[in-house]
Amino acid sequence: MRILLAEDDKLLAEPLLDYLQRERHVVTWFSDGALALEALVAGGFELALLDWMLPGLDGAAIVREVRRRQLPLLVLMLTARDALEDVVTGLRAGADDYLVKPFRMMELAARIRSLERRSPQPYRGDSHHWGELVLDAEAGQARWGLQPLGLTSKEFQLLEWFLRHPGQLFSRARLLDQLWPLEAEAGEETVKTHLNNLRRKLRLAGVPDPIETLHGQGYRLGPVP
Amino acid sequence: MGRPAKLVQRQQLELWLLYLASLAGVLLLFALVLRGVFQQSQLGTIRSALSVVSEDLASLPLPAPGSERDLQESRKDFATAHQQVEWFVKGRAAPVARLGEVRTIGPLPPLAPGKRLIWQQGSDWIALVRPVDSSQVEGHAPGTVWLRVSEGLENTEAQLTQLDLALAASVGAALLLSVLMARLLTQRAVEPLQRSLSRLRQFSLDASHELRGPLAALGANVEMGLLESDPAFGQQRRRFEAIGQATAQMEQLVDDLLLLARQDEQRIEHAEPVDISALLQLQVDLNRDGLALHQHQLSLELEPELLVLGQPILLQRLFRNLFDNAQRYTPDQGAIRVSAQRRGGRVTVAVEDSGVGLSADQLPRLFDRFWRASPDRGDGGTGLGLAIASRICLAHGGSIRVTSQLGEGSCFLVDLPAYQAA
Repeated sequence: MRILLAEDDKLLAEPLLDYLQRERHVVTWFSDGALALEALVAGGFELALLDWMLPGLDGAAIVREVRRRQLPLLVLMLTARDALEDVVTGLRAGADDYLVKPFRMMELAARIRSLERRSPQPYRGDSHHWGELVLDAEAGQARWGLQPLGLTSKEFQLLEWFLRHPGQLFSRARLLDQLWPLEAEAGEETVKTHLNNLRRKLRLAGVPDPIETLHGQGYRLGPVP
Repeated sequence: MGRPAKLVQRQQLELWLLYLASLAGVLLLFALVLRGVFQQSQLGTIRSALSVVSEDLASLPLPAPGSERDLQESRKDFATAHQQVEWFVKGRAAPVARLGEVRTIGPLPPLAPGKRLIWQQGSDWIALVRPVDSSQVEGHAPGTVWLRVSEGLENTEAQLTQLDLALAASVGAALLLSVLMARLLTQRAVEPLQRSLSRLRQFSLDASHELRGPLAALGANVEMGLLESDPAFGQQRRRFEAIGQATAQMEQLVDDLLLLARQDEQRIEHAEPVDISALLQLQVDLNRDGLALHQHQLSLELEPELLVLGQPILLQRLFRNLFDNAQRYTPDQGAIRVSAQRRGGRVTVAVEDSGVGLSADQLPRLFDRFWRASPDRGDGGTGLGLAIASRICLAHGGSIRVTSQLGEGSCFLVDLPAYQAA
């Protein structure tokens, strides 16, 4: 999922970012509430992880604005306050779920997964198939038949994206927007490079290329051979 | 600010009662003194009146039999003033002449030769006896005729009664008014206490919440550190694990502090009937590993279906803390006994251990926060376990006691009100 993390504590944000990326989410981090809201409004995010106390604009205000504009966004609030009234306030403001700090990463991953099932976007699903190609989204493993494929995180994300949207055409720019965080120093060349790496790995493993190239337009998942 | 804590309410009630009691005492004293002074003043007035009258009459000749009526006419005020005059002659017990309102007040007192004026007082009269001037006495030896002027005290009595009623009414009204005033006053008096407690509680809450931020950062970094660490680098992993454990301890402490701060309000929300025996059984089951590890001998005597009205999570915490305590302070192969029964309208739970025990001077501070039997912190507790247990008991309308013998063991007794299904 494309996640926006709004957290002003850098010490917490960094390991969170690393963890979420390990879980193959595309995460962008903001430490200021006002800037975070701007980014959410600009669009492109499916889930917002909002710390309740933020400089600029606090979590509650962000959620209210997001709901006022009826943005299709899932909101998980992170709060140090677990008093019932605070949680109720948060949920009333429009959050979909909440987590009390300190929390275990696994708990966070589980909550995100359960929110994904509610997502307006098509659910990632636990596994995707294409011929003998199996992608276990939860475990982050890809295999051809019984043969495991050693894909990098980005390669996996690319493959997964295509398997989730069979037949749909995506340009490099679109892939860049979808699978790379906002401030990443990446361009369309990066997309091309990763795709090439992916295709080479698949070819070496004896997997027929699942991705079709339409020159000048983009890429899409091809039919099962 | 919320409802004042029970401690503050109790304080306020004590102050209120004390204030009313002392005020009532003062008013009563005041009323008695006033009454006494009034009474003495009245008597004083009567005495001087009698003095004057007797002096006046003593210079008159003895009224001859028959002439009393004339004298009576000229001294009409005797009757209206409830006064009476009697003349006595030595040797004769009954008065030889009488004037005024008839009132039998008994014989003359013994007459000492030197004394000139003698006062007599009865339950509702007062009298003055004086000798008649020898120059006025004909046919009698000097010093043998006396006159006694007496006055009834009915008027005074009536006035005193009126005063009593007035005093009673005003003291009553004053006290009634004070009841209200006292309430306001005592409320003002305990406000600083209430504010202080509130501030303390708020501080505890705020501090705990603030601590959660850094704890979250610690935990997250430890988790990632462990995930990313090279499994071959065992030493590093152990360091991360140690940090993780210490962080978990701190998290527990923060949660405990929050629990205590909230419980200071001594209110139970969402109470439901809870089966204590089932809860205890569950607690024991959860601790099986610990029991096996230390080879503790456990004996359970639980009456089935002991119901208490309360919050299951809190009650679970209560017994968990007591059980953890028993395990921690009992040496290997020691015995732990948990019993629960219902007596009358109460459910009592006893957790006994054969552990190190406590000395008599340690007992009063046992339920204080952060108090520990030994200064050594390695036992893994937060130091708040018993303070929390005590708070939870109180919040459920129960109590907790401990008896202990140094070197032999301790017994914690929890007493809770039983739940009566309506």
